[in-house]
Amino acid sequence: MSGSERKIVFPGEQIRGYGSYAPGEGVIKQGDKLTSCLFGILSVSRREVSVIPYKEVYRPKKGDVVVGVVVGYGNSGWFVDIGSYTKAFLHVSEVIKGRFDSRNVELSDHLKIGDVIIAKVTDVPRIGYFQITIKGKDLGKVTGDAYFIKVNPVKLRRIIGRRGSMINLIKDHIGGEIILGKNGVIVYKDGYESFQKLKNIINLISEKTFASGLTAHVAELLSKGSGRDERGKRQ
Amino acid sequence: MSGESGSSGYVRRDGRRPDELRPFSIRTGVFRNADGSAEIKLGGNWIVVAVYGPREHFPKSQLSQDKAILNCRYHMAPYSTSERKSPKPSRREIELSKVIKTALERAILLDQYPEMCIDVYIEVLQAAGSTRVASITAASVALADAGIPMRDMVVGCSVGKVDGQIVLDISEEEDKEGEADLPIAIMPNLRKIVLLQMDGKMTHDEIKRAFELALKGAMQLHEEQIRALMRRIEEMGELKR
Repeated sequence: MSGSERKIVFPGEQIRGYGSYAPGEGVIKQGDKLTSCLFGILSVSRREVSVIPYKEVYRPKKGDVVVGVVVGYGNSGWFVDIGSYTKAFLHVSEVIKGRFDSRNVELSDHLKIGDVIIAKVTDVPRIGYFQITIKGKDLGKVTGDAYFIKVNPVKLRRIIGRRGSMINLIKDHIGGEIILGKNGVIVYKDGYESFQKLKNIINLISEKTFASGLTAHVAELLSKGSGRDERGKRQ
Repeated sequence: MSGESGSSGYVRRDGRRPDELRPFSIRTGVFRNADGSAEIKLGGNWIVVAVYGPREHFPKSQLSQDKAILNCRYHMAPYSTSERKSPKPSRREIELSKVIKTALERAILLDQYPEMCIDVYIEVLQAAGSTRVASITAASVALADAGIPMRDMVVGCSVGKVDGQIVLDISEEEDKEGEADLPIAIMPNLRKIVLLQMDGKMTHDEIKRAFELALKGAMQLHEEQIRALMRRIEEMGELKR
């Protein structure tokens, strides 16, 4: 996906020149022709042609780390909104050790409605709820002061940048802890002022996703901003 | 105006040639809160479409196990017609909702989202004939804007017979006074018809000619669909310094 040879495709458009490639995400085979079924940018890997949509509703994959909000209690776990087309289910065994007896354990003692969790997707069934876990490193309930930004998940690719160039740039200048959920939720732990700065940068990136020289532009903005900050501190 | 033979010299009530569309434009991203949206202006028609989804379907008892359900609402605003229209869904609006739904269903890959639903809200702000096909054209753009997978875009166009002439994209006046009208919607790349209705009478030969004319008109509108989406990408590529 180099900047110069971006090809924009539309639903129903035939993709020519990749006859032996397998259809990836956003590409279907109609007869013996590969056809795009999304509006977005064509992406070609070694064996596969796919379309990176211009905008999407998050479709989880196994192993994705996501940020979700607890929205309800079930008989044996919590329902979590991960910003996708259906809810995720967090089973009680992922949270409580040992035997679970609903008569003497209140689910709300562990996770309440409104709690934000960082979770990993463990299963994406064709029908029914996604399965998630909070067992593992860096997973679990978000505690302390944290701020959130929601972007469309397709923008994450640009926020991260090529080999992490963009996100490293942002991290260097803004500081604090930044967690990117694959569902497009960004968690930020630090002061409110630096959060506002981060938010402005993220909004700029998601609005101007396809601009060339975006990383340089962001770098310029960031260095300007941090310069002002330093002056402020000195006074 | 009657008695003239040969369609080339025929001038319509609004000054158009028989094979001419009304001026049109399509825009995407009109609503901030919807997942996808589009607006079409076709002559005096002004239609906005908002798309939500895929999302969970409620009530659960009415969901479909193997595919998503498409909900479609075609609604005319009270101020859309020359005489105030009751905002209550009329018989005609219910019919058009159904007809548009079946047309779009052919294109959307509903089997990718079992147990879900997709909502398409079509709001006719100003009506001036051929609203059903204009709605379909805009709805398809809104669906693409929302990132919903489709086999193909859907584009609609109407033809009719007025004063014995086959004319493209009939206006409200021509619809009322003409002899026949025939709205069609197609998937332009797959070359498939997803909507075909007719009111009035036309001969075999006339239908054939009307059909070819409609295809030509639809392809013009399809180009505008693509341009509208393209503009959206271009907006994201300009850096303001």
